[in-house]
Amino acid sequence: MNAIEINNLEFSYSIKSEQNILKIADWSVKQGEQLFIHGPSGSGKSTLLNIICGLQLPQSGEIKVLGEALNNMSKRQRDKYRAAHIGYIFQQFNLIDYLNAIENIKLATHFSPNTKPSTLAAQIDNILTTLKLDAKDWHRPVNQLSIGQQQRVGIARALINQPKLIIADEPTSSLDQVAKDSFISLLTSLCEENATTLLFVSHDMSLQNHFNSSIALNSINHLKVKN
Amino acid sequence: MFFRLASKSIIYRKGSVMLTIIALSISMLVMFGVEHIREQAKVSFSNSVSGVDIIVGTRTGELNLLLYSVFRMGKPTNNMSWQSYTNLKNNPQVKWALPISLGDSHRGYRVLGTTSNYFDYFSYGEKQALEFSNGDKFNHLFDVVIGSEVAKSLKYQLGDQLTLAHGIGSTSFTNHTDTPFKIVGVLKPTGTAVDQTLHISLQGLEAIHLSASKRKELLNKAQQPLTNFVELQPQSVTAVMLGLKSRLSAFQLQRNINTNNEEPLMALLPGVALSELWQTLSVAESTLRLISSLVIISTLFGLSAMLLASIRERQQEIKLLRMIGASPFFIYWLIELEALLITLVSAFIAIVLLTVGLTASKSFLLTHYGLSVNANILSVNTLITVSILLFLTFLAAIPPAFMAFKEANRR
Repeated sequence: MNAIEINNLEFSYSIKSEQNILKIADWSVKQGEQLFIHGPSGSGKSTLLNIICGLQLPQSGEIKVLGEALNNMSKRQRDKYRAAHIGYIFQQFNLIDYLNAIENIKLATHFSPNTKPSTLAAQIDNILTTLKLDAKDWHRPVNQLSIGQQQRVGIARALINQPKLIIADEPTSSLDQVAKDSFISLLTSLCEENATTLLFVSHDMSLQNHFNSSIALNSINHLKVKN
Repeated sequence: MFFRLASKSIIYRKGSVMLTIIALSISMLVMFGVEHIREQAKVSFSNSVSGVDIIVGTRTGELNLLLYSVFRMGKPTNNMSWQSYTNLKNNPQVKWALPISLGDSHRGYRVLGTTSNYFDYFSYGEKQALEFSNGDKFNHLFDVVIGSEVAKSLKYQLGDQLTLAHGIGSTSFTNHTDTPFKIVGVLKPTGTAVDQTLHISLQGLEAIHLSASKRKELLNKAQQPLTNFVELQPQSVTAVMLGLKSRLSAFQLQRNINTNNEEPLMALLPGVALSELWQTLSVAESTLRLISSLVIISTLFGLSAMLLASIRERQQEIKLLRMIGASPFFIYWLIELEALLITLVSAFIAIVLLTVGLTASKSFLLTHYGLSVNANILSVNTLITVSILLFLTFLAAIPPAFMAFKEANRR
């Protein structure tokens, strides 16, 4: 089974404008694959990720994520589906400032239908230990943590619902080189352990060698984007 | 989780939230205060006299007669003759008649001269009779029965002696110092003007206004029963309270008294006069209400503006919540809940402050305005007011919540 399947997808922000942002004829990502997607800013990377997450629907064409066609779901169903099956890591602001690490992770489970409250505390303990976050930092407000620590709590939040698909949108751009490397190796090894599909999006080509496959967005998006 | 998210979010933005809470608390304090004092005033007002069917005095305004005879406020313009009192007392429709004389005071508290029947017939509230917490009625010339508030604030006990002053100011230049009165009774609290009154016999009141030599003479006879002092029967009294055999005759008797040609008298029905008086006060009352509601409404607009401004700083937060699966409705209700929490906290602060404030100013209100106020402001009415405020908050939070909803839908 493929994790992502796209057929004849077309997307534009305004119905009136003739200008499409995305036009993808045929593209798929295998289950368990760790894929590096690169492209210059403004090439439609974020739009593609929003469509995969079900936040936006294409005007035409088909999108299947983990075997389910997002086109056929209601908005509410897509919200639930996203909460349950997709973990998302942002460039920054991965966490809610006024909650501590544990509460941030719990919040992510709040929206997911597969949460088991009985084992949740142990699960959170486990994942934060794996991510090498000191126990003394678990209950501190996240804005008192370093950027590197925050990004690791971000991984924990994205992984807590044991999603089948992890999307990371430029997650390392605010980290220094050493932190970048350790972040990516931590993320990729965790995804490998759980057989989770990983889409890693960045414009930083130096990160490409951490991944076994990579793709340029322009090579699948058959569209010249006007500036 | 939802609740925790909202409360932590409020605590996180404590700067602007705190200011909003202060503004809301102050305006709620005003609103609850006005509402509570209005209600208490109305209760203590309508409770101040009951069981008295007619009050008779010399011709003056109804308001004036009511104020000085029932509330001990203002001053009597003229007295009515003793003869008229006896006529009223002997009227076949009248069950009892209580003459009262006002005009003297003790350290700001009014002195009421009356007969000892007063303690049997006068009633207040739901026809409750006066009760003694200590001692009994006056039986001698220089006996005095004091109200509970007088006893409490001046720290008087049974057997204490006090001197009366001529006139009604708290500082008087004519003190009846050579004729001290002995406290023989302390009344239980009633929440009416009775609490702030000193009761003496009409004969006693007459005695202290005699010449110095006669007063000295009387001091020697002070232990004799009151009935022995026929010569001290007053020429006139301030007003007379009447109880009728049948209340149905009240209107007829009132007309007879008002049209009496022998002496210009005036009769009023306390229940009717009280409600008329309250009606005239209701303009001020509704003005106060209107002002306090306008203050609340403007403060709620402030709350709305504060939340609206915060939505702009919270775009990242909304984006994140959407990504982890929160629906736009979740975000809408999050903002609503934050607004409602702010109002609830403010209401709580306002209630606590008002209770503390009322407890502190209770005796001040009572001595200066004759207003007995209960410091406990929690009532069904308060709950209703808080619910209305919560509803208004809900309305006020619609613009920011809707903006957050739109922001969430955009992602």
